[in-house]
Amino acid sequence: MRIVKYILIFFVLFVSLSIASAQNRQVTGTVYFAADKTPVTGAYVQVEGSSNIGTTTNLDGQFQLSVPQSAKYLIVTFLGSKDARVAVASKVEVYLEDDAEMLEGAVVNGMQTVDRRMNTGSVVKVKAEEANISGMADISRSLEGRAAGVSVQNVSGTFGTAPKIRVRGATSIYGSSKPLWVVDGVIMEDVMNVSADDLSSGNANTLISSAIAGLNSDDIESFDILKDGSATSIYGARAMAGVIVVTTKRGKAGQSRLSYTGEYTYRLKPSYDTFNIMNSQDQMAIYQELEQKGYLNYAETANASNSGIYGKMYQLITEYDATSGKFGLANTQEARNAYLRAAEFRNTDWFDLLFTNAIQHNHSVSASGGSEKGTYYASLSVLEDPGWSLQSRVNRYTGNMNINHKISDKLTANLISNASYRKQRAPGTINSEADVVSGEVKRDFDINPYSYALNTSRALDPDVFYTRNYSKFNIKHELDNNYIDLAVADFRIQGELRFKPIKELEISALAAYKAITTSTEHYIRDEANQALAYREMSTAAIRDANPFLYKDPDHPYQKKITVMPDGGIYDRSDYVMNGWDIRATAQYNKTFNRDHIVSLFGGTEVNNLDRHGSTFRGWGMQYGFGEIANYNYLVFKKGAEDNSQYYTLENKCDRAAAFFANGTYSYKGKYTLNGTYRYEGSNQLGKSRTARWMPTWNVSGSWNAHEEEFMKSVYPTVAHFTLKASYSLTGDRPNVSNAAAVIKANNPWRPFSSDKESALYLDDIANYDLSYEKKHELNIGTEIGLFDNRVNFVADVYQRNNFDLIGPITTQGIGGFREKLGNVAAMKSHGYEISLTTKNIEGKKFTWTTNFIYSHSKNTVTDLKSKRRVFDLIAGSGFALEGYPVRSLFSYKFDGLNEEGLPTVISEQGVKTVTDVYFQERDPECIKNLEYSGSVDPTDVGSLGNVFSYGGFKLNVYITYSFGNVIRLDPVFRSSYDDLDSMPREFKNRWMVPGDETKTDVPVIASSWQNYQNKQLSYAYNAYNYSTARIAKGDFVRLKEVSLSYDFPGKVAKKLGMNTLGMKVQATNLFLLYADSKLNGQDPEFFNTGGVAVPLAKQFTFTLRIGL
Amino acid sequence: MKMNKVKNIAVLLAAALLTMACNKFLDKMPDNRTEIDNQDKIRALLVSAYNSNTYLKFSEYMSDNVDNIGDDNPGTNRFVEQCYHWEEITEITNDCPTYFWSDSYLAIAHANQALLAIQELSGCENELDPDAVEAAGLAPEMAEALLCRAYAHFMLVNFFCQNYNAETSDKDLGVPYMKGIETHLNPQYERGTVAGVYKNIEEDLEIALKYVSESYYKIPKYHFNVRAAYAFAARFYLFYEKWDKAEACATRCLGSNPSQVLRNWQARSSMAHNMDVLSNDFILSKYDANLMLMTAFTNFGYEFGNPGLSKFSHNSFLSFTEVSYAKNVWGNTQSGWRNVSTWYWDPPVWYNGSTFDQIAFWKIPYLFEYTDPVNGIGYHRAVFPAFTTDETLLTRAEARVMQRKFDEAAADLNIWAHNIIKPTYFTGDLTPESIKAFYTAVNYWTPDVPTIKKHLNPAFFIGAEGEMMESMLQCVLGFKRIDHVAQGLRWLDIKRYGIEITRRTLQPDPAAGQYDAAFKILDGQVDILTKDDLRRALQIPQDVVSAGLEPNPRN
Repeated sequence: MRIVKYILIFFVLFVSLSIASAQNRQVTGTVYFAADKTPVTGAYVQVEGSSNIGTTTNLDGQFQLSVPQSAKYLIVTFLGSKDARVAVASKVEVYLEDDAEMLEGAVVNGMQTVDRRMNTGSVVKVKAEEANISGMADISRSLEGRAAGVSVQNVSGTFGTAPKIRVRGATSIYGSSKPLWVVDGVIMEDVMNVSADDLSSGNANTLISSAIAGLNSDDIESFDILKDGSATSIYGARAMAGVIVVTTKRGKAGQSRLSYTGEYTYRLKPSYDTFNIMNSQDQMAIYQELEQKGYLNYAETANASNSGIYGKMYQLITEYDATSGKFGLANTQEARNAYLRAAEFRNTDWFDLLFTNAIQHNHSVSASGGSEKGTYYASLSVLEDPGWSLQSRVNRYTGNMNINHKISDKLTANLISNASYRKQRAPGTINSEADVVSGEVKRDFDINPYSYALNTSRALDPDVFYTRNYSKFNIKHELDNNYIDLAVADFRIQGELRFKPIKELEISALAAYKAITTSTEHYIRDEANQALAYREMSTAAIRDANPFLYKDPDHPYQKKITVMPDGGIYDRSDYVMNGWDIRATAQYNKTFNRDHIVSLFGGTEVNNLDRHGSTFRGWGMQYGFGEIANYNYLVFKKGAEDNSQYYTLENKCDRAAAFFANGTYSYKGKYTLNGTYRYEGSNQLGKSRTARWMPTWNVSGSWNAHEEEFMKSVYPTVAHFTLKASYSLTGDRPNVSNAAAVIKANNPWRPFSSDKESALYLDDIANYDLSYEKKHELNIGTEIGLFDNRVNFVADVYQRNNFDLIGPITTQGIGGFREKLGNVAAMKSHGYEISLTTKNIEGKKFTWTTNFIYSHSKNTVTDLKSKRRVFDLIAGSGFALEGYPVRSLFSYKFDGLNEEGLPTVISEQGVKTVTDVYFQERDPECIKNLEYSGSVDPTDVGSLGNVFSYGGFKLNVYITYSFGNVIRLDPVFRSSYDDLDSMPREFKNRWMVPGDETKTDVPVIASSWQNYQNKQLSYAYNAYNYSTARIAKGDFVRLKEVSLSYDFPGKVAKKLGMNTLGMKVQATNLFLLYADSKLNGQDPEFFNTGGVAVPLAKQFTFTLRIGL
Repeated sequence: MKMNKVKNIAVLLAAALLTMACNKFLDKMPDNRTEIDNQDKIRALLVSAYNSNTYLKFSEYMSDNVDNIGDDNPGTNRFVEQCYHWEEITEITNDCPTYFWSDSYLAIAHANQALLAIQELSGCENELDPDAVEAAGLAPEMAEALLCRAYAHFMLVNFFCQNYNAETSDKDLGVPYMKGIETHLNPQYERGTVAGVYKNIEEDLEIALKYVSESYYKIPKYHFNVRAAYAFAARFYLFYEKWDKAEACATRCLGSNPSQVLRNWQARSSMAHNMDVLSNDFILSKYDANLMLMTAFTNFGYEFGNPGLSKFSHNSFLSFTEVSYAKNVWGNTQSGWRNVSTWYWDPPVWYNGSTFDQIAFWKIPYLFEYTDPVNGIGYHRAVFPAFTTDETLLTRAEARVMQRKFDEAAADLNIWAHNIIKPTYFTGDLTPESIKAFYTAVNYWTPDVPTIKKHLNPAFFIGAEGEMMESMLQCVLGFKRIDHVAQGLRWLDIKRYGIEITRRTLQPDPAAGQYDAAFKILDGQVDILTKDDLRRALQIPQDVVSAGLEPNPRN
């Protein structure tokens, strides 16, 4: 901010030199900030109608100006404030209001602060105050719909999971396209690099995927989203996917404040009403059909790995209780019928059992203040979330301090520290795996409450143990015994010194250190199903079938044995990241001959980031027995034979060094020309001195038409009119690093532990041609303010040309790798963004403001020489194919049911088939037989916000929307089902008798005879799951937020002993105003992948704000 | 002006220093990768210079060791169909030629990366200087690297090209011989000629044999130990038609008393009759017979040790008429299960049912490598001996026949046969004369009346049919076929000797008794692989052709 002030002062000083006139009167006055009554230094005061008469205020906010007799009004302007218009008098006092809807205002790019008038790039500023969604602890989620060109997809609502954020869509094919987060000038790094696709995986590592989960939303002042190459080019080779700059709050001189913000959030439990899950009666009817079709019979079900009602019934029939002399269930038709009838009427509400309405509360206390000499801001916050679902507690504590100190007139220091600690619990999960042969994505031992409630039969008794993995299983019991405890300590300190030897020059040095330590402890307790599965051998049939038992190759005649006779599993992973950044910059501003404004900026920075990860799996931890490990040596023997490592260690280092320079020239603030050059090196490409350096640049210009004389006549009808254009080259580090050969260590597989030896292997061979991924971007933008800025319109159009993207190439393989990754791919994208703000009614008490944001982006892969497997293209997250968007989803063409009710598709060979599909086919000719369903990334996103205020009341109705993508429906169809499964209601319309194939597209429940006849029926059902019949549109319109707030009048607050008092009631995520009916209640943003993923809750938040 | 110059120079110098400092700062490795900068790391790198995608499966299915036992039989898949019919194999499986190609070149890349490090560490300027390497104490590592490089190329050239012969090999398309590491994204290569590849192999081999040592191997049987190196050399020179060298190398490998180092088939007869037991025993590194072991991604052990895939199998009819259970030179005049199953110390097993019929061998185990033990996800795996003493002994026998050392060849054949046949069933000794007498009495194989004697059409001279030399070779090749069945090496003899294969279809024989072959011939000939059929050279992978390498010619 300070720099801008000075730039301005000089700017206006020169302008004010041109004052000259005879019959003048002297005006003196002082300019203050309306908010805190502090004087404004450097505000520009001019006579209305004659732009060449003006002056600036001094350090005390005072000014003196001789004005012509004819002058009636003075206009006072200051960056970041609304213009003020006061009548000419000999002594005036002017109060400047903060400008909330800024067309004016400084652009913060994290390294320097640029006068908006001289900004040539495409930047959106979002004030945290406006974007903040109460009760949403992760601030990144609140950017949804707030800025044109930014899409935020909440693929999971679990705390700590980053939403999928894209600035102007994808920029890379294999890279993550994740924007760079910069907080107070320092780049934030994820402790673990979770790719954009993996964000929706539900795996435990998604809990630590958000780089800014440790920031308390109350501490944030604003976001600046840098979109085009001109804005981002100062970050050069890391900024290809955009930059989000976060500025935290600072104290203001002269005002001392203590504030409290409390948020209390009540979440609704999900309800079966919104989903199309069968009730227990319909479900039991399906089971009866299964029974008729040869399933759920005694022999198979009693010893099955998974069973529910029927399995339990059979077990009870054989369970003899010696004391009562009775069986668990009499083996009579009546007893069975009674047992099944009870299940039929059970209608268990899993959501009610597994979710709670417990209140989440977040308390923040901040103190700020200061004097001319220095300012401070300090805050503490406590978030306590007892959890929406069982085992999903979160506690977060943050502390934040920001001190500015003026050591002398020439030297100032800025110290920032930020610390947070998070304790979180999540249901136990292991990573999911995709089986590309059968086309199934599976996660063993999944106990995610949300997906359990959606996928488990409502006929089950919630208090009874059924069977999973051959062993007893009850969801509530399992959640109590199988969970993850996560701890994240996040810490950042930074100091900056600014030295101003002469007026025009400012030299700054910044150093920052940051560290994040996480530990993930997965407790699988003694009684957990996941532990019991390792020793379940109650019958000979189960002993033979249970895959978790061990067959010792040295004793081939022995029966299978357990490697974990006692205790459970203790699984731990630790990720530690620490890094430092050092940056030195110099800024030179000077205005020559009044009209020529020159600003030069240059500097260098060095970054170092170390990542450390380790995992450990302890077998036989006896949780219930004093937490003592009692492991069996066979665990290690088996591990050595399987080649599974019981502990791992990984260290990574990320280093970068960069030099950059930026120059801006402006003629009278009307015509501005800007250029940036950055030269950057990174160690991420490997030890090659040629590939590691990358120059990036940008040239841009703008025309502030409203500064032109001829525009004065239409002022204030056209109060603001700016045109700008930029062309740039930015880049991103490739996600491969083999500029030199990559050699790693492993233990090659050998069946006998006596034959084992360690090896080094070529993970990747050298590619001297490796380079950064690059992007050329042309951006043309305009900012228009009409009717005295009551209508503000910002629009940008861009065209991007991404080249040298990493893509696969098939080589002759003579060097050892047939499939290689290199800079061979390219894509194009284009789009436009509009944001329109109108002050519809601006009365004394009542105002109504509307904010409409719309952005459209489309990309096409123009060059990609790869052969994709069918599976990659049909799986949910989509894949790139030449001529299609970077995340395209393809489908098998569904071709109706056959006379047996089995689904048929057009296979990749182009023929109608039931089972003859091959998910691993790579032939491009075959791929053509798949149907393109659409892109999984939305193309049109935005929001519509309306704010009504009356007195202290403020009503905010905020709608977000997203269009243009497709979604793969949950893969619910299988060749066989068991008595645990729950089915969507569409099963009611399933094929039942021959002839139904003309009426319905829902396939038959295949009989066991059909499965016996055709061993590959699972292929048919998976092909159906991945067919055109199972695609829905992802379009939605969501009522994101409705809130009503009330600020008590100052008098009332004062009476209560406070400065300010405010309250807010807010409803978030209420419902979808529009979504594809095929989704049947499924949230189009959310990926139901189990693990730790849950959707965002519908919630009500009460917020209390007190200022003392 | 001067001042300015000085200033300029100073600025330039400062910039240069800064960049240098930066480069040093940026030299830090981004992850836990390493550089090959010492002897231990070279050794560790060479552990990876052996391929783990193997020829076993396509080689066996292309050979005459399998028959079609019924077109309606569902026990098949596209990959096996393509192998069996010598079509271009486009299916991508763990056992496909594409992976074999890639993985062989990957092994070569490891060898070359190691050689590069050896060259740098021993201070050689531009190319490897064996003397300098020896002085630097890295000669054994160099020898292993060269052996790995030579072996991988040798197997490539034998599968993807026409077999070596003195006449056409200087024109036949070879495979690129990689002597350095690849450093660019997509370089284009020339295939060269088969003769050229052989010459390169010979050069590498000669240096390697001079320095090979197993002193540093932790697990010598998973590396080119000295005896394995000579076994490879013996096979190489045999294929190179350098019979004397082949014999000499085989002798170096086998030592003075070969019968002591052959597989102990007798011991296997007293072990439990169980697939896991016997197949795991077959690949133990402690046995002298296993000269070198390699691991592979394959379910080969399942397909040939079980009923396996039923459509194309090493069926009883084939075995009874041509291979293990056929009449043979050591005695019995009868063939078939009833008569022959007791001959061997370790007889192959017969699985048969209504849709399958397989003579199974419990040699190569069917194993599993878990990548995720919790989810039960992983790879089908096998370990197989790349070289055995049994094979090397028969190699020597063949080399001796080619040098007309018939008595010595017969001695080798006796050692081999006495080792696998129980003494009750093979009492005397074979002589060149008895071999000639036996084979003269056997008719040449026809699709309808199969026998153990097939026409031999090699490029080199073996005398006329019925002569001593040809009869001796029939015997050697017959023994080799029995030895090699379910080990993937028969195909190479088919190629070298121009043996023709007729694809025929069998059908169940309703007249068959309990111990008779369950099948008979349905129709005579569907497809014949003639002696100079272009399909004898596997087509190089589709991907590789699209990437610009010249494909093999086809009719």
